[in-house]
Amino acid sequence: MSGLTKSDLITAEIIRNYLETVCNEMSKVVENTAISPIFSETHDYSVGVFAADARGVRLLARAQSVPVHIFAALTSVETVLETYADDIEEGDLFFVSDPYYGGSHIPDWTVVNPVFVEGKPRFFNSVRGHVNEVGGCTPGGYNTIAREIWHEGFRVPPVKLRSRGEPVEDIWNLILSNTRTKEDILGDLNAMVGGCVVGERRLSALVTKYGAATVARCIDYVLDYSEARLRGEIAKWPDGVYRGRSVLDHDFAGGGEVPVEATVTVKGDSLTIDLTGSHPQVAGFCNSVAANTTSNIYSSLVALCPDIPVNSGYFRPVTIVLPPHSVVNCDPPAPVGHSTVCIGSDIMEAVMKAFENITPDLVGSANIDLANVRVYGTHSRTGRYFVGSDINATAMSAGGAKGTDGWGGYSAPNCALRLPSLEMYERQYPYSYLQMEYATDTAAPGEFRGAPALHYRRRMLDPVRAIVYSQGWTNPMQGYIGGSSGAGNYFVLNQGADNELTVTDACYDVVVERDGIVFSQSGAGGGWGDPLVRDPTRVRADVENEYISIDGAKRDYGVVIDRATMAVDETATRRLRAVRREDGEGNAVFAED
Amino acid sequence: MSDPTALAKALGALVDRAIADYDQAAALSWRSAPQAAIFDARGEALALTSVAAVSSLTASLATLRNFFGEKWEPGDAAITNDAEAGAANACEMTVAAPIWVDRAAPPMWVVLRAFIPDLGGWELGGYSPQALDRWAEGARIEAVKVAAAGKYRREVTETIALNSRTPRLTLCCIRALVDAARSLGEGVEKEFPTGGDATAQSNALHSLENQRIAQALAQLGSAPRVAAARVVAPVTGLSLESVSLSLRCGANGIDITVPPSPVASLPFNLGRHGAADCAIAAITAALDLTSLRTGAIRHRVRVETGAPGLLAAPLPASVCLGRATVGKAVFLAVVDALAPGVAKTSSEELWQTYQANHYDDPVDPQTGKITPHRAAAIRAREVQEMRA
Repeated sequence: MSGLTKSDLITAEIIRNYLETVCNEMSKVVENTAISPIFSETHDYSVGVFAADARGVRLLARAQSVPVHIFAALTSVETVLETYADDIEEGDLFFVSDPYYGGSHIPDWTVVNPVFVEGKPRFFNSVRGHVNEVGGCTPGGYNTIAREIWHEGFRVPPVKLRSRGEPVEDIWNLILSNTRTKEDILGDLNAMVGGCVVGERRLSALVTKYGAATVARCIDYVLDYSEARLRGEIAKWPDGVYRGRSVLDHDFAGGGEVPVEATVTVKGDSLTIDLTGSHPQVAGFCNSVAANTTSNIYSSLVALCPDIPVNSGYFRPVTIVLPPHSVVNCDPPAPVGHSTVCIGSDIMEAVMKAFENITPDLVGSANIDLANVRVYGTHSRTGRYFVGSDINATAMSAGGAKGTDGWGGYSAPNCALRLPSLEMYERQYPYSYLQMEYATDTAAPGEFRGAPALHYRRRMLDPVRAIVYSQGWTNPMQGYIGGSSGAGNYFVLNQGADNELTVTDACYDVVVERDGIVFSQSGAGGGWGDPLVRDPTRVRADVENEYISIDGAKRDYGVVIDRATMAVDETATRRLRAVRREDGEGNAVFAED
Repeated sequence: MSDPTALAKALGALVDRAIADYDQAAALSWRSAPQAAIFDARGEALALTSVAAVSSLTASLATLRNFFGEKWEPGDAAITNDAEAGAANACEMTVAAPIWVDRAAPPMWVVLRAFIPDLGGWELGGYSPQALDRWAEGARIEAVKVAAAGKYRREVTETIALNSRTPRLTLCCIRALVDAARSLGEGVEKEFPTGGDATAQSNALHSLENQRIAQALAQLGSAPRVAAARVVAPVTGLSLESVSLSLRCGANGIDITVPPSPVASLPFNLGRHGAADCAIAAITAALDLTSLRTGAIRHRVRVETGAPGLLAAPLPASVCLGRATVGKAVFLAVVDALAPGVAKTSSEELWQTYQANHYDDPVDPQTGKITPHRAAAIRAREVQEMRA
């Protein structure tokens, strides 16, 4: 495969690990120097290292991060190369944020830094991060009533932030003056640039140490290795055509359900993933551009084989087909603001569902079914305008997987996102958290259950306005291999007040007075496997932890628990489960498509 | 030194020619309110197509000069549409370019402004009655060079194009502004041969107009005057309080004081320089001074609006309908304060004339958006540009 000597192979492995370490260091720089909690707390950014030559741009390594970012960042690097072609010089630094320029949604800003070897830009490193404010018609970049991309924020094609080492000041100012929180976003952008600068130093040191030719040879090996590993896995999978489906409740524009259809064809050691049949593009802001869709498809795939090094070699065995003019491959000027997660997560879920019959032991919840509230106003303590997101509201989406219950965080493809500290939020925004706890009987039943839904309740310490966007109320996250769905998402604004508003889809610019309560139920991830085979002692533990009630244990798992002693009545449980099976409940058999 | 009267005439012809150049290049079937001006190295207006915009044009130039400092080259052209820098609307685009009549001295400046077709925001054409704040009205361009050393900057033109529903037409208009500025600059260079003392010429031109202004003010007397005008919102069902003001004339000019009003939650606020523009427009209309051509009057009219508010909208207040609403009220109140016996026609008539001569107001009074007719014309022209 490689033509490398044994010692070269060792060097290649050292270089592969070095590149991943570079990414991790870049990631740390961003985390430790950014201002906004969406970076420093939630970790909603990603870093990657790329190589470029006549064969094109190739992802070499990434930090454990948000996969949907970094696979789409590859297209951003390609876009920069296409746009600037022969106009890339040492000391240049690039920026792009437009979805229709290889991006995803406008808030995902990408900084791309060329690293020169022997006078040519042979490497690029990149930080893509979700900034909290991007101008446009609505604070926070999530315009629930957007009907075209100009309603969503300030669009930036590939531009130079730095030219030959000198900052291009008017471009910096142009970008930053189109955010409502310029000072904070400046800090975040500087953090992204700082990550790239550190990465550039490390990549230059690598080439200095091993020489350009050796590094190039080793990179080829590393990519070939990932390709061979994935082909090896695919070859073990049964040839055939498999289908999966995921459905959005609504299109944010008065339209009904929006299905995503995935057809996975396994043939030999190759895969074709075809989303033909997915809904035509819609009026609301849940359309996805091709780069975003591709990135979400890759994200599902990576979650299936997590021990294979993730780089462009990984994707060589995969052919992707996207229907034109569709919700998974939309045309401008369709709004796309919510696409990274919604419809992105549904793309992941549809693909994952298709794999249910190919690799049943590897599948699990691939959705985060974003439900979020953004509040904005003036913080009386600082006198400054703020836009506060609350990523907590999206957190409890992890489903079960074979061998493990949903663990109370993000689903596997999004697992590098972090639950932010409530105390940090309270420090930065005028919120006071009153509640954050699992809700009983909301977890998706399964042999390995999903994480329960979470109830958040926060008091607003200043008058604010709020935007809510939510999916998954009527189509909550799906279970796998007979596992069920759990509770869906919903919000209540001004809870308990005369103007209380329950939201299961979206609302726009709603006033929440000082001391108003905002409640959210962030839905539960799906279960894995037949709930009737779940170990009764684990069901009992769930009852003790108040994840499920005694009645719920009986209803959902066929487990009978004595209320007085809290012991499992094993005889009654066996009898009840047998009856249930005779009645056709349970789902030990999962039919082929 | 040239004869000031002849020079004033020549410069006046140049700025008039500049907007004719713009109109011809942009070839729009609707009026886009072009303005042109020549400024000396200090940023004082030597010639304007209309003094009604002298305050905001001066502010726009000052913003661009301050942002770039000494970093100017021949062939540069910078743009702004920022309300902090004089614009009344995100689609009101101002271009400034330096001209070196003497390479050893600081540059003179040419400035052009026009309404471009679209720059994002809620609605086509820059009027978004539902805008919550400035960012919702369109892309903000505080200061950026659209051309450097004679070449258009791809990253800037492409950014503008991406943020416009009418990318081709919008860029066509911006290029027409830049080209007209370049032609105007060449004309200015001819009027000021190398080595000429442009600042002295500028002082002489201002001096000429100061005499005319003084004569006009002399008829007013020094008694304090007060007036108020109702703000009429273009969207049915919306109303604002009246704008009231006091006005005092003296030997040094006119002082206008407007008590501070809170910022409106809808886009009826005036950008920081809008109140002065409207006051000057009213004074020149009422006193028959519309033929003034320099920035001299800017130093003779002082508008005090107090704290940031309705008439000096702070960021993030939305402003896109400010001139048509609060600006109109300022205009009417100033004319009424100068009456009786000064203005030959009613304040409303003078406003209509001012609007007709300058802005050809495209706002639909029922919706607060651009009129359907104008919107259709813009879209049709964009299609034409696409085909071309």
